[in-house]
Amino acid sequence: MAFDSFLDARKIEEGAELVAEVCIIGAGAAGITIALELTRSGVDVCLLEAGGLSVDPRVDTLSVVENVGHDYTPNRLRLRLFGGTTNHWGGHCVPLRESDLQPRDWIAHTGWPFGYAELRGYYQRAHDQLGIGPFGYDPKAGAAELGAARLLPFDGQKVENTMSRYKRVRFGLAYGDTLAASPHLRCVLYADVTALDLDAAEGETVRAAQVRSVAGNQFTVRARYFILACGGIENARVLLASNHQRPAGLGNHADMAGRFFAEHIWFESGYIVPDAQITAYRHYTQEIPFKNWGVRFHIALTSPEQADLRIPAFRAEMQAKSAAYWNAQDIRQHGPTISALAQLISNPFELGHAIRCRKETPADAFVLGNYVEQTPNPDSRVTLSNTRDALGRPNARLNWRLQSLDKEGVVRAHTVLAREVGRVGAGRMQIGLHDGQEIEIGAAGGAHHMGTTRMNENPKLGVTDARGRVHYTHNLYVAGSSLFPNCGYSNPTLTIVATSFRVADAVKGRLKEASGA
Amino acid sequence: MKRMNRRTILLGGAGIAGAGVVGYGGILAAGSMQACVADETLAALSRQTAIASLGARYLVQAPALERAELLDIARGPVASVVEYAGLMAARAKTDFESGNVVSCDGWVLARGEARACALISLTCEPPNDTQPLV
Repeated sequence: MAFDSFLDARKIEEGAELVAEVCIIGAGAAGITIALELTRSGVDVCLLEAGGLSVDPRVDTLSVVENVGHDYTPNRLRLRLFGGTTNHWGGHCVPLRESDLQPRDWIAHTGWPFGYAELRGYYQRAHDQLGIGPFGYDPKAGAAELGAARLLPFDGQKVENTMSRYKRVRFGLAYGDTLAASPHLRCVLYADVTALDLDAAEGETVRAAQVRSVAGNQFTVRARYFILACGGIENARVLLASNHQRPAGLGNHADMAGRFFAEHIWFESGYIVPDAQITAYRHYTQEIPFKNWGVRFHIALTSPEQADLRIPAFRAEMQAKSAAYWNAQDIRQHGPTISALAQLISNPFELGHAIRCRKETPADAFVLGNYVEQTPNPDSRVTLSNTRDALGRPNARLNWRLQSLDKEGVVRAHTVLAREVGRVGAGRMQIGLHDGQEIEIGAAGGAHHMGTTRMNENPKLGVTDARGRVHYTHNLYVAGSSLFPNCGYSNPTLTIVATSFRVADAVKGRLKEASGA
Repeated sequence: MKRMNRRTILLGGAGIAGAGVVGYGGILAAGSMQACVADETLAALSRQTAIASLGARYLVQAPALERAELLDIARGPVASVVEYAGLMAARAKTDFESGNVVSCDGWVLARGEARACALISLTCEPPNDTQPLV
């Protein structure tokens, strides 16, 4: 991994000015996708990456997040290096559902500014880039391709099987050579954008990005278009910190930049004893290699059922566990339940072993890893902290907050799921939740930072328009999951790549328009 | 030679009769025993204890009239209790489809299979009185 053509910001002359047609800030899934797309079209791109080619603690100290909300570890989840968080991405690819893009009258602030038909074409392009075959997520077709893999017998009325594809594409490694060889690309590592300058205080054109490195030197990048693609927290931070001309920052005219921070709520609870040996369902508990990628199956509430229950999107990933181990954990955490005591009496050897040794015994059941859409919440937000980094910039402050429906939704979903498991003969399910307060205490995130620069054609309701252009700017775009107005249950990377193609197309269109004019 | 007691007969009858919680055996309530407990007798004992514990739980939460009814049935001849428990367990699918479900210790069960479990629990001897099966 030499990438000889890449520049090192630490060695760029103080006060220098780099010029490009498009300046992309951030070299993760979104930034690299756009850089590839634009340079393929002959657009001159300057790609700025805050980190280097490997983890650098000095760089990490420049993006420490002050966490003041739900118990969370945002600093462990982000990666500042070329390729961004794709360097630890699990490779989980799954599209949003059509219903995820539609407004839902039972959840405020939902709805995307464009429909699924438009996104569909971009998903195929994302598939092509990731090398995961034709766009298709029909679990029956997937199971057939695996050689008649057995599906849980859900009939799709209320609960359905879903299929995901997996491929851990490390964007830096996968596309670095292509970018390094492009005559249209200049990639600058260790280039931390501290602010974006407008051409005038009352102007709407971003003139330059102010860049500093950990070495202390400073330079600028001028471009016709700027694309902010550095993650759900950092995108908001850069917009808010660019407040030397507009006191509220860029895109924050309606106090929306940084609001609606969303995560996928991950919570382990629920226990299914299936109708067959767990090994018959191993494609639910592990990825199965298929062609050039992997596939794995999950279960989800259908869109109509989600509407009937008036809850956010719900999916559960299944992990194979032994009942003894599960009960042992339960005893350790909450004291003995009746069923755990029954096992202790009836089968002291296995449970005793699990308690003492904290060791798995053979799996015979599924524990549900619930994976739930967070409802859009304006009070869940990224703001600027009073503390500053070594470059003098305000750190980001994160206040991740859940709403009651986020918790109640899981409880309602489990109630339906447990009945459906019994009704269709898939087995029996034990619900471990009572009122959802367990989720308030135990919920973790999926390391997905979304929603902080949400799209909405109405400038009062969004930071960007439907194409990702920041309202009240002519030439500043945002890419990545910070654009998502709501997030469904789907892991975001496939949609990040798809929507990044869309942003790239928007910028290409503007360039073409301008050259034609 | 194995000596069958009332509980063993009842469980066997209900299990043969069909579907539901009895069919899923002890893992439903008590976790795995089949995989690690090679001894058939111990496994059977485990299953009975687990199902009986669910049944006891259901009895506690069942309406008084239903509890009295189950107590009454359990006092009857073994054969009729077996038949009744089997019928109840076999109703699981119908119960689930009609939403006739109950929750015992978090497990969502068809009401019929919960009743079958309750009958099993009512016919269980206390653990100390368990007759040797061999």
